Amino acid sequence: MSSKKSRWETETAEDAAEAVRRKAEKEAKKALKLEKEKARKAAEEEAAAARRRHDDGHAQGLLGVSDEPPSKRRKVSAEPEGVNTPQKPASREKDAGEARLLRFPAPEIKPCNSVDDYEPLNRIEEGSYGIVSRARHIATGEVVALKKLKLEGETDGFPITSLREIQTLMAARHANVVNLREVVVGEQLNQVYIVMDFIEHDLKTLLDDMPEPFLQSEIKTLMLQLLSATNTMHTNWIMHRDLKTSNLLMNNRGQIKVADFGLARYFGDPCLPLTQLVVTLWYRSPELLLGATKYGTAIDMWSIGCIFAELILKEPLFQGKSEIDQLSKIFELMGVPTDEEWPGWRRLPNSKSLRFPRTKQTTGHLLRSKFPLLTTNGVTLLSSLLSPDPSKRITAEEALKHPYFRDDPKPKSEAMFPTFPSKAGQEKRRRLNSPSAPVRGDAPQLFGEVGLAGRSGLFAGLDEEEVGGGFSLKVH
Amino acid sequence: MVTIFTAPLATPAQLSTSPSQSSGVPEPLEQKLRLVACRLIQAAGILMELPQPTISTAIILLQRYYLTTPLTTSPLLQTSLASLYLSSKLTEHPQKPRDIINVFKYLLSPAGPFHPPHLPKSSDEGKKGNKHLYYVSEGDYTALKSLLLSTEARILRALGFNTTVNLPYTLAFNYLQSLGVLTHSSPSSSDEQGGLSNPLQNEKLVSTTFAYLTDLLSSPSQVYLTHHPHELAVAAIYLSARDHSVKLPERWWEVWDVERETLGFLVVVMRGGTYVGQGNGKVWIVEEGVFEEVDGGEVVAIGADSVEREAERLREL
Repeated sequence: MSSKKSRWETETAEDAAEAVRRKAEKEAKKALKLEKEKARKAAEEEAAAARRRHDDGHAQGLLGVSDEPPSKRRKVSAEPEGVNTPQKPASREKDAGEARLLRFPAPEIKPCNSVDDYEPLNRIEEGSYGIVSRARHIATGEVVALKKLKLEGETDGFPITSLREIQTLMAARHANVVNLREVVVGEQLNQVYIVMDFIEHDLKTLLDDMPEPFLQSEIKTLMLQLLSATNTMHTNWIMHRDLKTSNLLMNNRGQIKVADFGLARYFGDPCLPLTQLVVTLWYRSPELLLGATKYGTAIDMWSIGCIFAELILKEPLFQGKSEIDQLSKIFELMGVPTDEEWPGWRRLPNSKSLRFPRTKQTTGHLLRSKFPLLTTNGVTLLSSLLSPDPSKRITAEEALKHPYFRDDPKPKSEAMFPTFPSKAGQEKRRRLNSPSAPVRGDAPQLFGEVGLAGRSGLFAGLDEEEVGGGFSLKVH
Repeated sequence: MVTIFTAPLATPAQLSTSPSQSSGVPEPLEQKLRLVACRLIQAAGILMELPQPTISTAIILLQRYYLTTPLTTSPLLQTSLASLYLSSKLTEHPQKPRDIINVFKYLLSPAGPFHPPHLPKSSDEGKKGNKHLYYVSEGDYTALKSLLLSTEARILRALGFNTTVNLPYTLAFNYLQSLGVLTHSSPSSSDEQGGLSNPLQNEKLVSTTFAYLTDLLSSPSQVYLTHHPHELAVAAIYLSARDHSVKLPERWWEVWDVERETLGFLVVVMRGGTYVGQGNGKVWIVEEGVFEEVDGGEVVAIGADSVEREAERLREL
C-alpha cells in the first residue's frame, strides 16, 4: 500500500483487508497481554452496557438515539485466514473468534424544533438568566418547563455561560438531574428556549411552606439523591457552582432534581484560575469567600453541607448579609481554623485584611449543640461537609458511603414520600361540593395542636381542601 | 457512565444527500471547499495559538453544519470564522470576534501564506488603493462581526444546540498506555512485550498517532462524522505502530470493540491522504477570483460569487 497514491478511492477495501490480515499474521506470535486485556474488556463491556441502558432511558428528545445501528460495516469474516496461533488453546481461540463486539448508538445531528410546538400555560419565575414558564407540548400533550434565555443585550454572540449550561445539562444525565428534552428556537435568532421536564416543586418554596421539616428518613433519601447526582456531575468533570435549595426541584414521587446549570462548567486537573463570583452567598464556601481563584468540586460539597443543615433546620444555615458577615457566621459555628487545621488559609487573598480572634471559644465546631437531635454519624457527615479546608472536605463519592445513611432510621422509600400541591403548577387540591363523610375522627384537633393555625402560602387553603384518599399531610 | 458516545453522528441518509449538491454545487467543488475551510481554520488556530482540540472542534462543527445547510446559503468564509469562534468558547479558550476577523483577513491577504505566487500583490484598480486588501476598516468590522454572530446562531440552530464533540486524542493516548508500549520503567520486560526501550521512540509513536488523527480531520470522507472516537483512535494507533515497527498483541483492537472491517476501512481512509485533487500540489486560496490550476498547485476562490461561477462552469461541462 502506497501513501503516495493521491486518490483514496483507488485503494479498495480488499487492499485494506489484505493489509490487516498480513498484520494480524505478524501479531499472532505475541499474545502475552491477552489475560490482562480480557479483564479490561469485561469491565469495558459492563460500562458500555450500563451506558446503553442509560441511553435507552433517554431515547427521546434532544439526544434522541436512532433505532438503527450506526453506519458501521458488518464484520464479514470472524477469523483471519491462515493465522498461526500455536500458543493459544482451542477454547480461547473459539472464544475470541466469537467475541461479541458492542455497537454504540449515537444521537443524530438535527436542527432545532420550533417553539411553536409548545403552547404556553403559565409563568413560573423570572430571573436574571431568563424566564421559566410552564408549557404543553402540542403533539404529545406533555407538560414541560420552558426556559427562555435572555440574549437581547448580548454583544459577543451566544453567551459562553449558556453554552456551558446546555453542554453540562446534556452531559450530566442522571435520575436526579433535571432532564433536558431539547432546545427550541423562535423565528428571531435571539429566541432560544431550553425545554426541560416540568417538576412540581422546588425545595426552597416547599421548606418555607411546610408545616414542619422533613423527617430524618426523608432527609437521608434526599441527601442520597443529591449526593448521587453530584457524584455523577463531578466524575464527568462538571462543577455545578450554584447548589442551593431553590435550585433543587422536587416532584411528587419523592425525587429531587438538580436544576439551573447557569453557572456550571467543566473543570480540569490541575485546576485553572476560575472566577470567584460563583455560588449564592449563603451557600458559598470559605475558600471562595477568602478569594481563592483555584478551587474544585469541594465548593459544591460545601453547598451540599449547607443544604443538609437547611433540610434539618428548615431555614438556611448561614444567612450572611455580606461576604465578611458570611465568613464570620461560618467561623462562629465551625470555629476559626488553625494553621494545622487548614494549612495556608492565611495566604489566601482576602484573609490578610481580616482578623479573627482565636480563643478557646472560637476553635472547634459547635455543630453538636446546634443540631441536638442529629445522630453522631449525622454530625460527623455534616462537619466533614462543612470542613473549612477544601482538601479535607468529604467528596460526593465518600459521602455516599457514609455510615449516617446506614443508621436507623433508614432512608425512606421514594414511593412513601408525602405529596404537596404544586405552586408552579398552580394547583390547589379539589374540594367536592357535596356533603362529605365524617372526616378522620380526632384529626382536626390534632391539627390544632401542632400549630397549623398561622399557615400561609402553599398550605393556606388547607381547610377548604378535600381530605382523604391516598395521602394526607404528615403530622408526625 | 461512558461519555464518549454522546456526540452525535451523521445518519446514512444525511451522508447520501448533501444539501450543497442538491442546491447545485457539484461534489468535487464541495469537497474542495471543505478542505479549504479545514486549512483556513487550522492556520488561523495556529496563528492564534489555540490548542489543537479547539481547532479540531471547529472543523468538526463546520462539517456537521454543512451536513444540514448548503454552501450556497451559508458561504464558506463566514462559517469558518463562526465555527472557530464557537469552538473557542466551547473549549474554554474564548477569543474576541475582532481577533478572529483580523487573523482571517491576514490569511487571505496578499501577504498571507495562501496567496497564489503568480497573482499580483496589489489590485489593478488603482483608485481604491490596496489598503482594503490588508486591513479591516471599522465599517467592515461592524458588518463582519454581525455576520459572524448571526452565523454562529445559525450553526447552533442547525446542530440543535448539541455541540458535544469528543476527540480521540486522549483515548489514543490511554490506549497506547494500556497496550504497554509506552512504559519507560522496565526496558527489558517491555522489550519482551514488543514495547520500545527508547523513550524517544515513545514520543514518536504518540506524535505520529496524533498526526494521523489531525490529518484525518481534512479527509474528504469525513469519518469524524461517521465513526466514534474510539474507532478513530484505534486506527491511528494501528498505523503509527506499523510506521514505527512496534509489535502489538494479536487482535488488540477488539479489546476496544472495534471490528476488523471498521479498522480496515479507517486505515484505507487515513492512508488515502487528505485531498482529492490534482496531484499533491499546494492549495492557494483567494477570496474572489477564478478557480485555476497553476504550476505546483491550484487556486481555490471561496467568495460566494466565485463559488457560484465555478459551480455554473462545472455544471456546463
